This record gives sequence, C-alpha cells and structure tokens, in this order.
Amino acid sequence: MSGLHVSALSHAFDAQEVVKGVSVFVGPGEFVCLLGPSGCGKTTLLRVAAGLENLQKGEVHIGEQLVASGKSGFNLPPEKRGVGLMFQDYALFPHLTVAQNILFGVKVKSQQQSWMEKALSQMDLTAYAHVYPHTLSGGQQQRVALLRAIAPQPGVLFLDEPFSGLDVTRRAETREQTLALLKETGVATLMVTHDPEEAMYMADRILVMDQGRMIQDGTPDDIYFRPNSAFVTDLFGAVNRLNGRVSQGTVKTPLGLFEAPQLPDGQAVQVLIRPDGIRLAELGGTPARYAGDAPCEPASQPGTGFQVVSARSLGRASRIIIRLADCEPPDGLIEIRVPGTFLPKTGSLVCATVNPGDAHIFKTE
Amino acid sequence: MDRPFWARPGPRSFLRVDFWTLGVLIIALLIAIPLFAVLTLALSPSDDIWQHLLDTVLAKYVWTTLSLMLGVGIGTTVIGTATAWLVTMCRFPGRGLFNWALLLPLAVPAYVLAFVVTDQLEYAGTVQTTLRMLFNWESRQDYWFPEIRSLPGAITVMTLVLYPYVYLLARAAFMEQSICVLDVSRTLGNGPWKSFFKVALPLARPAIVIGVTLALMEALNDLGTVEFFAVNTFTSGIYDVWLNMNSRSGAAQLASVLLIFVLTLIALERAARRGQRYHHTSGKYSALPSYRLHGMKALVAFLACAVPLGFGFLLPAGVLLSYSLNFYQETLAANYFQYVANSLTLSSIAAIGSVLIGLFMAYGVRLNGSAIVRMATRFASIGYAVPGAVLAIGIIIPLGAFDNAVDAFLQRTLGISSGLFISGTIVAVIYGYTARFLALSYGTLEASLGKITPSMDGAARTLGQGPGATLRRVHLPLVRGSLLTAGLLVFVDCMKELPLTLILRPFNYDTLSTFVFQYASNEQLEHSALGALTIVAAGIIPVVLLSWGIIQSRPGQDRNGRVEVNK
Repeated sequence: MSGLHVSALSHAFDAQEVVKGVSVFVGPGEFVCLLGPSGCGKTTLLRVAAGLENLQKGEVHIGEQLVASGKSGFNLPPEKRGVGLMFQDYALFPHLTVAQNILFGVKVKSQQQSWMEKALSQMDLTAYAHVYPHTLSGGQQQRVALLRAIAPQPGVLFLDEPFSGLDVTRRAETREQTLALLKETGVATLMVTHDPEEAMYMADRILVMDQGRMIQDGTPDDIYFRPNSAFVTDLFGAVNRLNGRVSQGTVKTPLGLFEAPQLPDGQAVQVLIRPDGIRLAELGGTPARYAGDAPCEPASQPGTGFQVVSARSLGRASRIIIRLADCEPPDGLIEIRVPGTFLPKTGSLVCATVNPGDAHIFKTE
Repeated sequence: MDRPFWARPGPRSFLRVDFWTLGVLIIALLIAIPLFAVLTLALSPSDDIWQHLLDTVLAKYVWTTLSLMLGVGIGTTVIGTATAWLVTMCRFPGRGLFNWALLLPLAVPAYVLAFVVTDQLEYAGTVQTTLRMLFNWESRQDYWFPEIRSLPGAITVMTLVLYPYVYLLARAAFMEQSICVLDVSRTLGNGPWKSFFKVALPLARPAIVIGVTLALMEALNDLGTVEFFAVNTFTSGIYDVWLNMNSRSGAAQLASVLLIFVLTLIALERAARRGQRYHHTSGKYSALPSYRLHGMKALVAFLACAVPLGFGFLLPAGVLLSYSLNFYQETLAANYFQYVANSLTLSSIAAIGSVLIGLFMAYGVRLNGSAIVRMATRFASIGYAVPGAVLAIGIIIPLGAFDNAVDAFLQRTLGISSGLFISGTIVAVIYGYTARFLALSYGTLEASLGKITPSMDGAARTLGQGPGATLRRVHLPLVRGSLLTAGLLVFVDCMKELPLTLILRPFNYDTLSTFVFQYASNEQLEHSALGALTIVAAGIIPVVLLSWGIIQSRPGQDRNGRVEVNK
C-alpha cells in the first residue's frame, strides 16, 4: 500500500507554463480523478508523476519515497518508480500475445501466473490469452492494458483517459469492471479524464483543473452540489446564468431573491442555476415539492407567470424553456428540466421556484 | 522542456543522458572529421586557385550541376510518382509485374547504364548500324543522331536508374493512405484525378520530397557517368583537379563549394517537410480501390511503366547478359572471383556496421530529443549527401596524418615502423562506406521507430524496463524487418559504390565496381560484362525483398494481399 504525493508541481514546455503549482494527494487505496478540459495540464501532471517527463519544479513522493525533486534535479527513471500507467491508446505491444503483454513487467512470471488466470477470467478474456492484441475489440484491449498495468503490483496506478476510445454502450460496462477490479486490488489510482460523469462515477475524490491550476478538490458530491466557481458549475452541462448585484446580503433576480451573506453590497455577481434546479407549476397551482426542498414561494408575482417557449418530453424528464420578461440571459430564455411528464402549452404561463441550494452565486470576473 | 545536458540540474540526470548522448556525439564526430578535413584544406592558403577557378570553370560547373539536378529532379519526380500511383491505384495488364519490377533499375549503377547505352547508341553501336542498314546511309553526314555523351544524355541515364527512389517512397505513402480519406474525397465530388492531386499527392508529398532528395544526392555523387560523358559537374571537376592538376587543396576547394550545394539541398528538403508530418486520422483500411483501365488508357498506363523499366533495367541487363555469355571466360581470367569476394567482404561489414550505428543513433534521439543530440544526428546523416570523391579526400588526409603520427611514435619509442596501417587498407574503405551510407540505415530505422507510438516506450518504462531492455524487448522485435531492409540498402549501395572505392582502396585491390569501371572506360565493356551483371544481380535481391516487405506492411492486408475481416 503506498500512495502518491505531488507537491507544488509546475511544468513548462518551452516558454509555455502548462502546470502551475499544483499539489495532488492520493491516499492508499483511494481513487482520485483529475478532471478538466483538454489542454488544462492534467496529462502533463500525470506524465511527470510517472517519470515520463523530467520534473522541473516541485516534488513527487510515491509512498514514503522521494522520486523526483525540482530543487536537487533528482528524477528517478520511470522503470524504478514502481508505478503502473495505462495509456489512452492502450499501447499494447503488437508482437506479444495477451498473456505476454500482461506479464511483460512481472519479474518472476510464475508468481503472477495464477493471478493472471483469475483476472483474465474475471475480465472475460480467458479465451484470448494467446492471441495477439490486434484481433481484440477496443474494450478487450482496454482490459488487457489495465491488467498489464496492475500485474507488477504498482504502488500507484495512473489511468490516462482510459475509456475515451470506447463507444458509449461499452463504456458503462467497462467502467464497472475496471472499478471492481481496482477496488479489489486496492491500488492508489489517479485517473485523468475530461468527462465529468465518468469522474463522478469512478472517483472517491475529484480534482478539477483548469489552465494549469487546481480549481477544486472535493468529493463528487461537493463538486456537483457545492461547486466553488462558475467553471466547476459549468462542467456538468449547460447552466442558466443570471446577472445581478448584491444588495444588503441578497441578490434579486427574476427567479427570486437569493442570499449572499459573504459578499459586499454593490458586488456584481452571476447566479448559476442548473436546469434541474428549478421547479415549475401551472400558474395558480402549487409547485411540486420534493424531499429536502425548502418551502417554496412562487418567484413570480401572482398573475405574472413566465411564458412557456417550448416543452418537450425526454421520457423520464421534461425539458421546458421559459422566457423571462425583461431579462438577462442574452435572449431571456431559461432551460428547465423536471422529472416526469410536465408539458404546459407553448405560450401558457407558469410559475417557477428555485431551491436556494441549487443557486450558485459567484462574483462576476 | 529541451535543455542541453550540461544545463540540466543535478548529477543524476547528467549520468542518465551520458551514455546515449555521448555515443551519438562520438559518431557525429567521426563523420565530421572528413568534412572538416576538406574544409580546412579548402581554406588553407597553400596554392590559392580560387581566383583561377572563378576565372575559368566555376561558372560552368555551377551551371552544369544545377541543370543536372533540375533535370534529374523533374524526371524522377514525374516517373516515380506517376508509376507509383498507377500500380497502387489502377488495374491494367502487367500491373502485378510492374508493382515490383519497377524497382529493378535501382540495381543498375548509373555508370553501368551509361556504358551500355553508349555501347548501343554510338556510331558503331547496334542502333545506328541498324538504321544505316535500313536506310542505306553511308556515313555520319547522311543523318542526324542525338549525342548521348552529353548533359541531356547524363540526365536521361540518371533519371532512368534513380526514379525508383521516388517510386519506392511514393508507393509506400500511397499504400499507407487510408482509403477512407480517398473515399471521402470521392463523395465530396472529386473525380479520380482531382482526388489524386488534392488528397493523395499532398499526403504523399513528404515521402516524395525525401525520394527526390535521395535521387539528387546520388546524382551529385555520380562520377562514372559524368566522367565518361565528359559532363563538367562539380564531382567530375573535383576528380579532374585532383588527378590531372594534382592539386589536393584545389579539389578540396571545389569540394567545399559542392558541400554548400548539398547543404542547401538538405535545408530545402527540411523546409519542405517542416510541419508536413501528417498523421493518419483514420485507422480504417480496406482494400485499395482499383480504377480498372481499358483500351487506350490501359495501353498508356502499360507504356508509362514499361518504358522506364525497359530502358532502366531490361536493356542494360539484356546487353550485359548477352556479352557475359559470349565473353565470360575473359572475365573469369581477369580474377573475377577475387573481386566478388572483395566486394562482398567490404559491403557486408559496412552494412552491419551501419545498421548497428544507425539503430544506436535513432534510439538515442528517441530517448533524448535534446537539441544537441538532434543536431549531432542531423550532422551524422549528411555523409550520404557528401559525394564519395569529397568524402574520400576528407578521409585520406586525416588517416594519413594519424598513421604518420603512430609511425613516428613507434619509431621514437620502440624503434619500429608501423607504416600505413589504416589508410590504404580496407578499414579506410569501410570507414568511407559507413560514413556515406549511415544516413540510409539511420533514416530507415528512424522511420521505422517513428511508427512505434511513444506510449509504447512509456508502457515499457513504467513496467520496469530500462532504456536498454525497452529497446531489446519492444523496439527490436517491432523493427526487425527494417533492420534487414536497412542492411540490404547499405549493402547494395556499397556494391555499386565507385568514387570512394577508387580512391580509398588498397593498392592493387579491386572490387567489382572498380574492375568494371576500368575495363568499360577502356572500351572493353564486353570483357567486364559479367562483373557488371553481378553487381546488377546483387542489387536485385534487396529489390525483391523491399517489394515483398512493402506489400506486407500495409495494415489490413495479410501476406497474400487479402483484406483482413474486421473482428
């Protein structure tokens, strides 16, 4: 059982600084996701931690051992670090069979033989042990690459966008198998991904990165429900954005008053509300209540509902667009997603309520 | 980030880059010595013939050399690209044969074709004799016939034997292209011709540029043809100044100008390739389409392939074969087997050496792409561009100095004389061959290693393998075919090599090429025909292997060219 500790790592290519003082900690047995858009420096961080790039600034520890230090210029070569890395393109050796690939990094092959047989059967690969990788499907190659990376029992496992090469239908199944295997192995894992849903699904903890900096470090729940910035809120898809100004600790928007006790008077802010954070009811009716909702006051004054622009069923949910009267999102349109079927007529009036916990208020930059 | 090794912090990283970096630097230095020797001699003021050269021949050399390069460049590009496209994309009678046979002229050295063509086309040759007989012409006054021993003649001869460089690379590029890309072009409304010019050709351009550059370097290197045709290129100039005016520094001065030519050519090629490394965006391959050609179109396609093959290979091979059958006893009597043994020895040692060194360099660059290593390998690769005559002069000078120094040292300390123990031995020839053909093996192996994605290295390294073990367990098995290809390419070029061998060989030590050159220059082509035929025959073996390898290398096709079914 070891773990990974990256502290204050900075990295530049030529003059371009791609990682700016980022620290990452992955505890023994923990699964941590590094989430961010492409080009945010997450893959670079992973390559430096694995030793494939020489470290420039900062320090990397694996377990208790210092493996790279910017101060002394010390860089333990990757083969001495005891890490596993699974590449986005899998990088299976085409001249070796599946079994040879998996045992490539194992020093005493006989010791891992029985483990491999068990793992192969767990991954539905027993029949393919002696074929060459190019005859396998993408999902099978992915699983072989994973087994190869963990076969030498690394102290830390790095996964670089491990599911991006798979089609959507295969992804869920492969994620499931991967997660099960890793939990069983108990290896500290750092996965890089740009897919927030994947991160939510896999991770014990998510680190959000943007433009070389760490933005937020928290549980999947924290990241989704308590984002610390507009950037993090935005990660999970389109968000309704209302502009306003703080006045006596509150922000007034067409969708209601929101408390912003920490912000000074006159501060320009944006209020971000996800489509599923808004409740709707026919004008005059009572908005549906859900467990945990604060008691709701219709935001619209009686008799002044919002006009429905469109309403469509998505099956288990309905997507409704309403227009704010004289309002701010460029064309005053707000997207709402409510569970079940709720399809008011186009042009009819509805009233809307926002659960205060679903309104994320940030200073306008 | 790329920092030179001395600027990297800490002792540890220094040790790590040391072995491979140092090795690459030493190789580069060994290749550099002859070049610096030439430049030093060129700049030494001993007998300054710069002014004399400028007044007399320099302009002529420049003009002739440029004309030759332009002619051969255009000729090889057109023939090489057109034939490559025809055999990869079209179906017409003879295509299966042309597919590999078009490489055959690669086996014929330019000077051999020059001798044969002259032999056939001169006044007493078969062609003119036949014409005179047919039309009852009495003498040269009665008709006009083009002079083959001229600049256009040299361009034609060289184009015919050098176009396979372009053909080989263009064909490989066309075959590697994902057919999906071509299909997309067709669905976007481009016909076959337009698809060729707008998609296939631009994608293949980097490969074609390399092919043409190789052909032009060969053209600049050629001594046999231009000497025999009395065409005043720089190479023949160097030879003449050195032998006839007996001026080493004069030859070195001309050589240094030629070096500038060559460096310009390399710079142009690099510039043309900059930012042109396309990566195939689609991994889907299916059988190449076949535009089936009929009637006139099929005939034109057939002739477009048959003419270069006929004149570049069938004609010289046929003539040499018929002479060999009639005059083989004369050749055998001239100590033929000794020449064969000499050629084989020199060529195999040089081929093995070049492959080992080339692999070392290519992997060194892959491990450590720092500016200094890349510069060193680039430098070590220019030997190929340096004409053999120049390289030979550059080798003789420092080796002679080295031998003299050792001799003096031994005289002083032990009182014995070592004489010349490197210069004037086959070591000097092998040094020359390796310095000149290293780029060939390096380039082949670099390209082959380049096809292995960097994540393969990363995977092996994170799985506990050091750089050496990674090379042995991952890269070597994957580039095995290329090692053979690289070795054979060097081997054949050594068999054909003339100027270096002529100058560096030990006294009274003849190879097949020097034997053929000397006999044929003295109008005794018949008596050396078996020797020439042997060179050509040796050249055919790698041509066949190359051809076989290229068909296999296309993803999605099995050994017999059948398409693999996607699983």
